[in-house]
Amino acid sequence: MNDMIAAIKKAGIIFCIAVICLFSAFGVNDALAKIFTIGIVNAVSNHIVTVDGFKAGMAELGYVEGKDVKYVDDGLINDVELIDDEISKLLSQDIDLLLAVANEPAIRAKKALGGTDIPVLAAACMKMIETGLVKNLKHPGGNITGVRVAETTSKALEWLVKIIPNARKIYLPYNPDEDVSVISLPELSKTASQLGVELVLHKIHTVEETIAAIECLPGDIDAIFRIPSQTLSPRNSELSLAAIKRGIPIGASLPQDEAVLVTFASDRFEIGRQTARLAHQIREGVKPSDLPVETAEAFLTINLKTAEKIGINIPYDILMQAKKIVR
Amino acid sequence: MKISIRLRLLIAFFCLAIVPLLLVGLITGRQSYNTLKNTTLKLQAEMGQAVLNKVTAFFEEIEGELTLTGKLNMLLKEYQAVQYDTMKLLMSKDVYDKLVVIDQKGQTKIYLSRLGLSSADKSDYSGDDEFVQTMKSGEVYYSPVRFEEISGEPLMSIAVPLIDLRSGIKEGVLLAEVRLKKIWNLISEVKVNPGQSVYIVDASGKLVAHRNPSLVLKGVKFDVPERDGIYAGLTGERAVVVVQRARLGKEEFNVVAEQTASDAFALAINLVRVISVLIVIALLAAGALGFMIVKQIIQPIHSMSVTAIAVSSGDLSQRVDIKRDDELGVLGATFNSMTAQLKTLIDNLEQKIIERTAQLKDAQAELLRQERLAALGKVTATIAHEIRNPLATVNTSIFSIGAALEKNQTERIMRALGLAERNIRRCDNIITELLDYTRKLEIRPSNVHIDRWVGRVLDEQTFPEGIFCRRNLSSGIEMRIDGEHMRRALINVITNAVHALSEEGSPGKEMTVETARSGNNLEIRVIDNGNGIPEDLRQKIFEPLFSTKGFGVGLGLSITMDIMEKHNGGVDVRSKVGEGTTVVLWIPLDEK
Repeated sequence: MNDMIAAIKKAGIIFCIAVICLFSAFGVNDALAKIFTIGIVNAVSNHIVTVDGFKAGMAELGYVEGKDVKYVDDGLINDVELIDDEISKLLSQDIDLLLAVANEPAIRAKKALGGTDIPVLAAACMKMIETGLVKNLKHPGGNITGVRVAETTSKALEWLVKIIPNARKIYLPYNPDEDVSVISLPELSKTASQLGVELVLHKIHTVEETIAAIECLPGDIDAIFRIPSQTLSPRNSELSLAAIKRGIPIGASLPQDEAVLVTFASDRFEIGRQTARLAHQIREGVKPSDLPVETAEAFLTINLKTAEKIGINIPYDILMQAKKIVR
Repeated sequence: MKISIRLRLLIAFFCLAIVPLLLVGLITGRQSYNTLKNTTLKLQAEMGQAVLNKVTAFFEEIEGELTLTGKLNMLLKEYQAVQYDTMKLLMSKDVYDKLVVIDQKGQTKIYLSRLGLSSADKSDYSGDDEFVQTMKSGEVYYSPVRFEEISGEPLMSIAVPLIDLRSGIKEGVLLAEVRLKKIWNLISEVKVNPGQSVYIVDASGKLVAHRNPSLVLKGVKFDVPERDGIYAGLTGERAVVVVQRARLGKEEFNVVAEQTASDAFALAINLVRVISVLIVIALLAAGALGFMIVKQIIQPIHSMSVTAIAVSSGDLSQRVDIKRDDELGVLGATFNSMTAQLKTLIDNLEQKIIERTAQLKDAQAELLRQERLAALGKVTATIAHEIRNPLATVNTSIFSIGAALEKNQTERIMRALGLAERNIRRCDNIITELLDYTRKLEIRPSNVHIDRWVGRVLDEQTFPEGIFCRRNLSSGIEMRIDGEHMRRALINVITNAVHALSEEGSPGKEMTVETARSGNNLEIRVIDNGNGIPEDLRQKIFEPLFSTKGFGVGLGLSITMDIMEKHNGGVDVRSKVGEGTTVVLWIPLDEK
């Protein structure tokens, strides 16, 4: 009888060990799940919103910061020359993905991460094929994809001309050293010609130089048109204020600041959210090369406050086409 | 195949533990699978229908807007600026990529573009389907889905005819390029469970709308199945697929709702998983318990089996080592007790056998002694009888000689001497015969032609008057025999035949001696037509010292049999009372 009890005890111990082994095997994967580490490089103050949109989008997709995802974000990089250093620093922190906001960080990130498996998400970039970021929007190739802004430069200029129908000369400052700016000029010149206006192109290298130029613009300049610029973007509002002070309307193909009279561009926060969805797919195992570059929605924004300040009456037929009106 | 009790018990344990679980698992899993499949199909159908309703409403709204705008344009055809404004209103919806008013000849009248400049990039539509079909049918036209070259976003052209309200004449077409990207939002709004998705594919199977725009932009295709069921889904994973079909003009599109099989059947899969785990646990438990219990049962049985084999082999000192107080313990103790009893029994039996064997040996020795005494008595009696008579005759002859000497009767003396001599020779013959019988018989064979040899033996014999011997010596056999001993054997038989024929009342006086081959034997037959031998005597004629004659020691046939056996042959006797006797001496021919 004692032998039988001892045998049953032994069998019980073996049974318990087997059950523990079986059940512990089921929970191993969860314990081993690695936190998703995303490095962020942004050199444009206006794009802080884009980063916020990205984080919000990730949260909507169920990523809890600190638990599921970790952001290595040193904030805004004020100097273009520091972008490369920032990317190197991010790479040293074992990131799983690099979010590069706008063209310049994206171009530099692609160059830096070219030989690695770390995916690059380029957000709010324009002319991605022309600037060499991707070969093809449907099949980007390499380890980069992202969300581009639509080709809205010409349309934005048209909207400015519609609002200022009598405009003849439009001032356009640009930095000749910035590809993202220079690349738009031929098409823009063609559009201006179609619209019957003259673009007064002015090479600048600093914000101060530009503000000084605006303050000294000749009287026959009817409007200012802004195109993407890494040099000017960080201090958009100063330029807008200088223009308002001169009573000159500003139009832009990218959302600049709330003082700009008319923009036809994408919402930066939405671009961030849209980019988060791509980040999620990469986390799920999809290769960046298999994720087509998406296009952000562009819409018309009109600032009636600015219009009032510079004494412009915007007709209803234009207002009714605006998706966003700043009153 | 020999299956041990251990294996049988283990199989029984496993079967008892697993088979019921397996059956429950199979039945429950099957039922769950069917129920879940039907439920999933229904849910997908509902979801697909919901999306279809939304998409249909989307297109109905667009068609309605375009139709209304077309009518307004006809009302305001004299006021192109106002027409522009109505178009601008439409463009503000952001659904349209382009809006074009085309006149009766297919030329652009008004052009609005979402991203492009408002100066027309195309002026002539006269050859395009959008214009031609709409003008021809007077009905709303839907184009096949096309994908924007750069962005990859899907677009569809919808054209409504501009008909003069009074004349009914088709004066042009209002063409809209609709951004199907807006449908993506409709699909994104649909709440889906994990593994569930709903999407739209066009007639060519190309993905038009999906909550994951990357798939649309990549140009993913899906082969729409004819019937709802389980197929490879959009991602290639097995899925429950339900298709809702709809038409826009001549164009067909499909709303596909799918749920991955792994999610749809998660409950059934989990059930199977749980049952599998339970089966594994039951297997381990049954294995462990079975092993332990079987060990507890089989080990004593095995021990008893080994001990029983040892006991059966004669080792009664073996004992089963089971110290338990259950049935097996009782069995072991009983077994040990039985073995001990058996050993005691066998020991006693052996002792008795030894004792009985000793007694038997004593009895056998006594019997042998008595037999020897009896034989000695018989021999003594025979010899006494056989020798006493001649000795008496010799005695009488000596007395006659004495008496004749006194009377000087020479003839009488000579007759008495002759009688004494014959009887002394007779005594000598008896003693010689006895000595021959007791001497060890040694065969010295030589090559002999049988027929000639038998003839010579017969020639040497002197047959009493009135007894006739016929010969039939035709065997033609030449073989190796001991001629001297065989001569003795043959003469013994012939002498017996002569004696038989000489008896009173013998029906005949003829004897035949034959040689012949019979099968593989040589046979020398001595046939007489005397009185024959009665059945009861025939059994004894080969016994030593047996004789029916009033004279002789009775060793003749016994010696004959001995000689024939030394030649690997024998003696057969066939006799019928009143008809005669045939004695056959036979020797196998292949024996040299």
